[in-house]
Amino acid sequence: MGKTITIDPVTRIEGHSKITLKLDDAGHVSDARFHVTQFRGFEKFCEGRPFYEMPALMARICGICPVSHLVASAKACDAILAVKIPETAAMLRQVLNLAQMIQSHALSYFYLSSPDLLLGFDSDPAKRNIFGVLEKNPQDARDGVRLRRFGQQVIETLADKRIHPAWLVPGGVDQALTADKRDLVLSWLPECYEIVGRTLERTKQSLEGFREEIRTFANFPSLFMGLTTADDKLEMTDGVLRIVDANGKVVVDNADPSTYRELIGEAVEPDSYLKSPYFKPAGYPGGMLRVGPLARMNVIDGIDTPRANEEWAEFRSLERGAVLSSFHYHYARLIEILFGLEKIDQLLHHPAILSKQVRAHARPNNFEGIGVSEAPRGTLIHHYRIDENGLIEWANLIIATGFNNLAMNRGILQAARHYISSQEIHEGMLNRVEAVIRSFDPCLSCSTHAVGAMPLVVELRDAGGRLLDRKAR
Amino acid sequence: MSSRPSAKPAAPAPSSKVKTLTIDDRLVSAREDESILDAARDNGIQIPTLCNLDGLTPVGACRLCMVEVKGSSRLFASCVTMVGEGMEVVTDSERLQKYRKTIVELLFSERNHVCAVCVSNGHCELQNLAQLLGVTHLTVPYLNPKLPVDASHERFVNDHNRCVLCQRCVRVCGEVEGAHTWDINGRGIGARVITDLNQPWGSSETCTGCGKCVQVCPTGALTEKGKSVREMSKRTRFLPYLTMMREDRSE
Amino acid sequence: MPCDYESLAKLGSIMGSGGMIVMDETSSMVDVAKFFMEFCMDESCGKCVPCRVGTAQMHELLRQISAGEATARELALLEHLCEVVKSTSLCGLGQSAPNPVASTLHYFREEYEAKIAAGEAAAAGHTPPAGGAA
Ligand code: SF4
Ligand code: SF4
Repeated sequence: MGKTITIDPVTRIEGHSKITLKLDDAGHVSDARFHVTQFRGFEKFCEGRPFYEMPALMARICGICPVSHLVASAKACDAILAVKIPETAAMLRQVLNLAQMIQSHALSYFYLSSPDLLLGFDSDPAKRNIFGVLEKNPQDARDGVRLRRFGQQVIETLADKRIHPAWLVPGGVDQALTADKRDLVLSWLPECYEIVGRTLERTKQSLEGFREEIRTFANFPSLFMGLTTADDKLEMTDGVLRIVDANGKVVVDNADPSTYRELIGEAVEPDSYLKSPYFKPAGYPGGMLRVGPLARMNVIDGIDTPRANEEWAEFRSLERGAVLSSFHYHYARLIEILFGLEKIDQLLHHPAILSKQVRAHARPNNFEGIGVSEAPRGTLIHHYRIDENGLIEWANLIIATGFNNLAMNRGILQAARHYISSQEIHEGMLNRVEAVIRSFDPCLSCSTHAVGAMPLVVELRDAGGRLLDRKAR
Repeated sequence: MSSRPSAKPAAPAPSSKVKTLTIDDRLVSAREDESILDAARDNGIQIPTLCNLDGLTPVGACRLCMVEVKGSSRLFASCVTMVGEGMEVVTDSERLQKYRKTIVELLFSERNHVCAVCVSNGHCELQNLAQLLGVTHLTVPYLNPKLPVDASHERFVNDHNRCVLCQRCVRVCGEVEGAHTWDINGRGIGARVITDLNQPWGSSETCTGCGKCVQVCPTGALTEKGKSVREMSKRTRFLPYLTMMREDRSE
Repeated sequence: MPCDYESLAKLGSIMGSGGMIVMDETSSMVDVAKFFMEFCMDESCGKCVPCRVGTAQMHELLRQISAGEATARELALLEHLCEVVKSTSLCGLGQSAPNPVASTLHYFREEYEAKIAAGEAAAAGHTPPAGGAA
């Protein structure tokens, strides 16, 4: 008699999702599925709206990474205007995007995953949260809060508003940076460097203790995709697309992001509203991609800031080809935080950063615009088509969490097979299955249980759907 | 004295008499051809308005400026009610505040206002009224009508989702620009502003492209193309001067 | 009942077309009010806010009450809107639009309350008691 275990964070309304594990008669996991029932119909919602309203509208998609959507949307609008935005505007957008990345990574690493990493996957679930960390490792908890605040403060300082900043506009940004603000941001950097430095050291030392997790957390060959600079360095905001395979061999190089449709196909699974994009030439589901911090570390040939570059080289020496275990998303996140700090430092010292020339004005010159950027979670694509009056006729968004969908599904199956059988189900086992999802840091509210444990309902059902057992936490 | 140049003779005619009345227990005097609203404003008493605009003929459409007059159980729209000798006017009773709040709520419920993504966010008279009157949420249900956006004009956009039907555009276009491009089509809840005979704005034969309607529109309904969220602030101060200058010349 | 201006006014009606209608006791008074409100909503010219939006809102509330979808909250809101629309509308149409609601509420409040009870029961998740709806 087969059984189904459902892990369902019931109390979240937006971004509702659950994990279903199917057990065969012998009690082995036969299938694992990550269902996302989050679909807010934004693509439909924006039809008929003036295109220049898109950045602000799109920033409402996600409360966690509004800036990423702003950036991608503003870039799609630049493409509709057919303008090259002023250099200073491009740099300011980069600073904003990096600040967003830092605060998002800090949230993922310190608030969501450090309870597992510092207290252990099998520790008391009641204490396995940021408060538990605060009790046992107060320094780490404080570090997380500080780094996250840094990211938020930079966004606030630049855009005057923490959530959903309306500072990014088609053609550039709507206000130049002042010297005071620049100096303020620079004054926060030294403390942040220290935090990342010590967290990286500790994380590297702890890897030994997670050998089993490293081996089983979505550790398999796949393709990796991310933006790079023209000379193949790490890039978050502009740049070209690169795809590498599991051996680290470059499959696609220097691809203009606006040609994404030649590279990416989109499949829709019947049990999830999340689209599953894949690498078109390899077909579905063989063209499984991973995006995000791990993928970015795998696609690049280096980082153009010195400290992050050293860390990157060490990271890549973990394996001969690409680094395959999704457990290393955490490690990669820390390297990216370091890169973000160094890059912000560089950009703010650029002689043109205070220039008042920050916006290009134009009427729409194209009926179509594609904007691609790297969100904290991976590549993000906004694609709009407008009518002759500038109203949106059609829009398509591909979000990072979508790109990782196939890999997340494969990953929980791998972890579930390793950790779960119907004979004994420990909370710690379910926690590991969930942690696989958390390592990808999907942009869903189920991954943002910043306080306390994720509300979970675990249901055991037989093949006929009859409820055998139910546990909630 | 009134600073409001109206469509009526601006300079006090020699025959115009002065009336004495009380507004909110304050003894004030005003010319007999002045409205209660103007008399109140001249004396620093603010009454909320939406459709009213200095330089345009008052129409009494929004009903926000309603006041109580002692001795009558009826309420009066102060923009279209002239002062009278010995009148005792109350502009801010609890009852009036309650009604004004409801009227603002009705306006928000009528169309689709999503301030957070609106170009006029932060510079919007409807939003200001909500703030002033303490409308933080709606007790009436949203009507959620499906409404079009007319972006056919080269420089301007008309978004019906944010129109409050104050008729300022209709009046400024007819009374000041003299083009009479704007009008109201339909009736009741189905009323809409239109250009010409309900043609797309961009194909209007009469529109001179002066943009006065955009500047006087109190909300994000009429805006300049290409403005992002929060970027559309309006200039209405041109209007009293323009009217004044025209009256000077016609004398 | 004498049929003159004063007597009709005393009853909360007016002399004019539709001022007096004869019906039997099976007519639902909520539906009668809804019918009149639909008339006012359609006839509103749309110039002033309370009449234009208020009649549409009252019509929707009456529809909800009639369909047993409304609770005491909606009824209170309806009464409040009656007052606002009556007091603030620009012309006679809006000022008198709430009258049918006000007078049916005055004389047949129990019919409204029965519908509300049904609505509250539905909102609470159980079916209304038999005969609960008028
Ligand atoms: S027009 Fe005013 S009230 Fe309406 S959405 Fe825009 S800012 Fe808000
Ligand atoms: S478009 Fe603007 S000015 Fe014209 S009626 Fe609507 S809100 Fe008033």
